[in-house]
Amino acid sequence: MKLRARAALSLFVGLVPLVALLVWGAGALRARAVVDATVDAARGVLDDGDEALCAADPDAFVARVRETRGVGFGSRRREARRAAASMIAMVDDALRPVTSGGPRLDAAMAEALRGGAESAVRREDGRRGARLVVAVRTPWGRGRCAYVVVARPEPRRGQVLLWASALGVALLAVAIGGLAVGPIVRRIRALTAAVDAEATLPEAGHDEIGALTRAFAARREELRRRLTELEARDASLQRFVANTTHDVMLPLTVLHGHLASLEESLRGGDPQAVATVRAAQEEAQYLASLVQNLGVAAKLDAGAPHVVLHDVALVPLIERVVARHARLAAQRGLELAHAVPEAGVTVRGDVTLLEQAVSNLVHNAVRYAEPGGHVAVVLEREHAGRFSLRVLDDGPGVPEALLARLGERGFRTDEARTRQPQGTGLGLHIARDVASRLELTLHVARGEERGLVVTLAGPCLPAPVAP
Amino acid sequence: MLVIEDDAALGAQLVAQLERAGFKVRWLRDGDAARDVDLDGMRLVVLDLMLPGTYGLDLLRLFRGRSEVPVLVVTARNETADKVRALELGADDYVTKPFWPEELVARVQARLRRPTMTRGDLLRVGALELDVGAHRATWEGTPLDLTPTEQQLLVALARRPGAAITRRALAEAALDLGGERTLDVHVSRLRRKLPEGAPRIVTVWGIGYRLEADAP
Repeated sequence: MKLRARAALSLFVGLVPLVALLVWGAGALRARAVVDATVDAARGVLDDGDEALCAADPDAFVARVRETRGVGFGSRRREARRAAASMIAMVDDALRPVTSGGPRLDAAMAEALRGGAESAVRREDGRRGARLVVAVRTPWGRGRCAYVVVARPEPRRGQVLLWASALGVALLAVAIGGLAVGPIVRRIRALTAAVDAEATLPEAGHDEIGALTRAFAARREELRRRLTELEARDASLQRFVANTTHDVMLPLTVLHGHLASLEESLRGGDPQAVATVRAAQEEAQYLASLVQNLGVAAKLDAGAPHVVLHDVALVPLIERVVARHARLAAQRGLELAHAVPEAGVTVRGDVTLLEQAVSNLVHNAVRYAEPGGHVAVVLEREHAGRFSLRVLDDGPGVPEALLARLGERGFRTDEARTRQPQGTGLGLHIARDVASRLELTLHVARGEERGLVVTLAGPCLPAPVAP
Repeated sequence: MLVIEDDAALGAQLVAQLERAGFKVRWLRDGDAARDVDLDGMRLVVLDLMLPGTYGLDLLRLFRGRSEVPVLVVTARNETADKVRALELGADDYVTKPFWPEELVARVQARLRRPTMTRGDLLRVGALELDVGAHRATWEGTPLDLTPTEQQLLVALARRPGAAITRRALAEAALDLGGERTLDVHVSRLRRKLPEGAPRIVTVWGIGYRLEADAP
């Protein structure tokens, strides 16, 4: 519920019983005043000497009172006296009426008077409105005219007016309440809009909303400061990783070169030495792949600014990856082949991430294939603007039950692929992470006869129109 | 060929590797010296981006303003932004450190490789000539007796000699009906019709076939 509606409702709910109570109290007081005035008036119409006159002939006495008396002072009192004089009757000390006509006692009044009360009152509702009947003990209080009974119509209009004005006051209060909440609501809205839009916060006053505004401003400042700190830290960390990568990669490249020429110079020589050089090359390649993977993992963790989307040509990417693993494949006696469509395939992605993902797939396939085995990298354009990049091998493969778990970080199918137990999990995991970051799919399945088929697929840009 | 590399050990290796691959190499170790180098007669430039990235990129921009010579960038930071920037500035390709000697040579050769000799509808692989428009194949001038399907298969393979072509691509190029299952039958017939010494059709595991350009 909106603040304004809530304020109006609570004002209304709070005011209505209060106003009702006040109106009821005012009505009761007023009714009490009317009764008191009527009792006074009833007493006032009689004089001390009236006992004998009344006792002689009550009807004549009453008639005379009606004619001669009924003049008083003060508006309500005078009115009551006039009314009392107009409807008057007398009752003896046994509570029997002694005049013909006029108001009568009822049982409850008689009971009260018999019990010694000075006066008794009842209200009665007639067809022409309510009237008040009051019985009062005469000053002498005995004989034929022991009690005087007067009746007067009870004013009603005042009560209706009272209720109407009370309701009016309540509604007015609600309206004023609503209006009074208005500026508060406007300020809160302005504050909300400013916070949402990260705009300058509105002028802060010295009230609670001002305090709220200042609290917001302070927290925002704090957040900005921390964010700047974190960004600076992140940037310096990224720089550090990039610099370290550079520092490691340069000597590693030189090491690759030395190992390559060492192998060449050993060709035809000691088979043990050749095997050692080849093992060293495998380790060097693994080390390089590990450092690249760590860099990619850091990029993936750091998120947006380090993942750069651009048009990536997949054919040269595959050629680079295949060239990178050609030496390892040849040493292991594997046939590593690739096929790409003549027109090429371009995708939207980050070339570093994609290349490392594909490199991981090929690296795994080459590492786990058996001597004399095969690894194929096949890029194809599928229907509806999609591509698929499959890396197939005819190595030992993995059991069906383990296929689903292959992408979990650090997971290794030790049971099936025990020959080179280092690092499969990280490589495939990173390939999977890259795929999900670039909105591609990575699917691992068993090969038709044996081995694995890992398929990276997703949308690609339309093929260039042949010239 | 020009190599611009500030690291002594790596530079010496690059030069040795490229010379072994048959290239004549000039090596510049200083970026400032490279600013005024004469690019005429250079077939390709191998440019290390170095660490304060913009330096190598500055050189690249400078070269592109003067020459169309292909530039192969060597990068160690493995940052996508660097590669994208280099390609935008006109680099033709890049190699990420660390690399094997043959990787660099392969990229250099890929850049210098001329597109397959085609003159109109004529494809030529060694002494094998394929007239695509006239549906005719000759080996050393002697016509080969090929069915239309075999002719189309051979054309599909000869378009990219040395490259593996998938079974699907071959089936789409040459077979109207029957799909990939009859492909092997057509290929084995075609193999028998190619004379001794002609390019061979080699089976590539997991992919399809390849026309071996330089038959032994």
